[in-house]
Amino acid sequence: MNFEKPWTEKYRPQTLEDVVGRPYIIERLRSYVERQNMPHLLFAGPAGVGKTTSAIALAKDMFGESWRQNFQETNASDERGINVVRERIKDFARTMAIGGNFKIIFLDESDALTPDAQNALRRTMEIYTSTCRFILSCNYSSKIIAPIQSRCAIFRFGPLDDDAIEEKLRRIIGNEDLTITKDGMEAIKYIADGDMRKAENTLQAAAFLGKEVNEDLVYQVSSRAKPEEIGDMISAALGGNFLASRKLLDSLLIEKGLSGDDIITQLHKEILNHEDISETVKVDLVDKIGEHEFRLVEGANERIQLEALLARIAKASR
Amino acid sequence: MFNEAYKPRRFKEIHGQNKPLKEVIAWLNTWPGDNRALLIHGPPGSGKTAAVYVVKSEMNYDLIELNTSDVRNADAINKVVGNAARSSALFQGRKLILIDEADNIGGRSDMGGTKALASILDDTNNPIILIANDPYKLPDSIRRRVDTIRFNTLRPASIRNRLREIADAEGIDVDDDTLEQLAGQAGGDMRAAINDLESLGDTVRGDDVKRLKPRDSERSIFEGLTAVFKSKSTECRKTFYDVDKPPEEIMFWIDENMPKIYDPRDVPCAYNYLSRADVFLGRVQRRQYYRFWAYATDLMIGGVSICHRYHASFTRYEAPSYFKHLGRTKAKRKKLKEAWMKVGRKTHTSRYDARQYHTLILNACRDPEQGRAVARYFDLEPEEIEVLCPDNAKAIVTLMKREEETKKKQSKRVKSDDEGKQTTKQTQKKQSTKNDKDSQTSLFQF
Repeated sequence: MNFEKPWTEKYRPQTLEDVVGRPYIIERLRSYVERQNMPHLLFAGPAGVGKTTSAIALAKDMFGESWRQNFQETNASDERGINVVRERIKDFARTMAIGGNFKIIFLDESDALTPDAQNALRRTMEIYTSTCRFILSCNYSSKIIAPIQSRCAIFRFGPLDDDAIEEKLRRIIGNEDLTITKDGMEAIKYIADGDMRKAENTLQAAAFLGKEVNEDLVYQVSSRAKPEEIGDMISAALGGNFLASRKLLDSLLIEKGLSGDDIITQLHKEILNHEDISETVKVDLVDKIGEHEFRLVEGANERIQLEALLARIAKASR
Repeated sequence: MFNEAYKPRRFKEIHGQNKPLKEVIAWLNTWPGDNRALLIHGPPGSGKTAAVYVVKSEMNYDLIELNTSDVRNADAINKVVGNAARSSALFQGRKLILIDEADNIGGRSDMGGTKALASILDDTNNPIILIANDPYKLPDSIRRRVDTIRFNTLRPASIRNRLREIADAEGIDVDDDTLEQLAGQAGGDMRAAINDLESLGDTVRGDDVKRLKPRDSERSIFEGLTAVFKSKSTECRKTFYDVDKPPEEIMFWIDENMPKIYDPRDVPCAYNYLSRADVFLGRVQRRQYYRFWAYATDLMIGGVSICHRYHASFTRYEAPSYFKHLGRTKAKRKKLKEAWMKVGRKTHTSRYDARQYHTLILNACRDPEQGRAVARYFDLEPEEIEVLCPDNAKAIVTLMKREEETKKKQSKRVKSDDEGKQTTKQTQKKQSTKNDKDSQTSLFQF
């Protein structure tokens, strides 16, 4: 398998027509294209569900050849200060559109903008309506100040359903000289959990390991442990065999290369699912898991913190 | 300097290390045997380097030496050691290659040194001897490829005998009891004892010796661990005053061994303190505020010690298995940040979300050719490839470097072909400035 570019880019829909799983949203966006006019838009939803893709496809359909000149993309979480709004965005907003009625400023992860920056943005949106439209994307619309929300048409992008993900993956597989087993497809859909970027990345990474993508390859490349692996680790700790559970931890950290927070997220899920732990202990452990994740965020070492967590689980069994 | 002047030159001038010395001679006589390199390890001043020098002069070897005063990165090792290792002994004298203080190769300035060394060890026409204080500091790739001989701490009597020879040769007025005392204080370190003797002048009495500050011999980490696991008190932290290892490394030694030794019922308590110690180490890193080390060490040493309540079963201590997987420095984090910015630009994501592409990149990098394609697509520099794909970075960077050179050659050729052609001149100029810029950055990297 040759690396040409990430499949998320290679297979990113170039027109609204190619966007899967969003019939209602796409229909409305296409009506804007027909009218050659649109309001400001707010796209809200989790990662990998098509917000950026829809914005780019809309711009391409709207402007045709000259879309690059009329579309500016800024990621607010990389440049989140008020200066971005005051300088970069304003500069682009005030210049005339080329070969069209307006231009589009796409502000990705705009919920990362500080409230000050959002207020500055609100004025910019009003002043330059003659030359430009904004598309803001965010994970949570509640983090966008009300005055901005009221100026936008709001589109909610929920997680993609498994059929949409499968449809897209099949298209890629057909084009890339690959095959996939049934359990391989199921595993990708389980891991992706509605996130197309994750699905495509997982598929491409697995394709480096073999031309027939199956469940094992998928788990090998995903930054997820199999639920059983986490379960075994918990059971070993509960059974008082700390060294055995540490060995399982090492295989996840070192051989599979999972990060501490990947493992902690799954531990959280599996602790709640575990049948041998009483409800009161579960609640107590959730508190501890949160504490250890906080320490990781603060720069502590993932192996030591996870070991301490396993030791706490061992203690909980008594 | 007595230590220079009285460096042993004959076998009989080596005191107290007859057994390992004979082993070294036997190893050389049966070379190449099973392994082409020998690791001599032991505490400072036990006569490791001295033994090799005596062997060299008594057995007529040409000695090629590389020690910490030399740069020991991959290039230097390949040049100095590699050349000597490959040269045949037909027309010259027999060669012996000595790499002293082998446990100190590494660090930023010695990039790739141990890797280069490991590959030379597999393919040498001449015997190679490595010397180290702490064999555990050597990477597995080296340890797997060597025979080992240990030089034990010298007994005071052996040191006294050598001091007597030197005192007599120098005409120093000193009695045997005083020499014995001097030898005893040196903690088995011959070099230290000889330095002390020299510092005391021509007439030495017992009182003079008492005034010498007792020398701190580096107590092994093992002693420290035993104190932690046995003392059940915070007092054991004093044992660590002499253990010359950074707190993080000590933490991983405790981490490796504690759960094997303590009763399972004591393990959660011990991990509670060990993980608290780790939190303080993290704070040192983040804030560059080194006072936090004190809390970290007290918690990891004292905290773990007081958790010992039930019966413990002692086994042989093992070196931390996880430690070598560490090493994310500030500089590395910065490089990572820049790398994710670049990936984000190509994939319409923030640098935070761009990390989702890591699995894909890692799997592509298994094959260096694909790794180079990754670097090309995301416009990554060699240093960024090193942090993204540490396992295969070397091979990928080699390919990138080669590609860079071909590109440069081609653009030069094209440039000279096009000389005078008005139409293409401008684009050409643009291209060559771009290439100049590239080669400038690559100068910084290699």
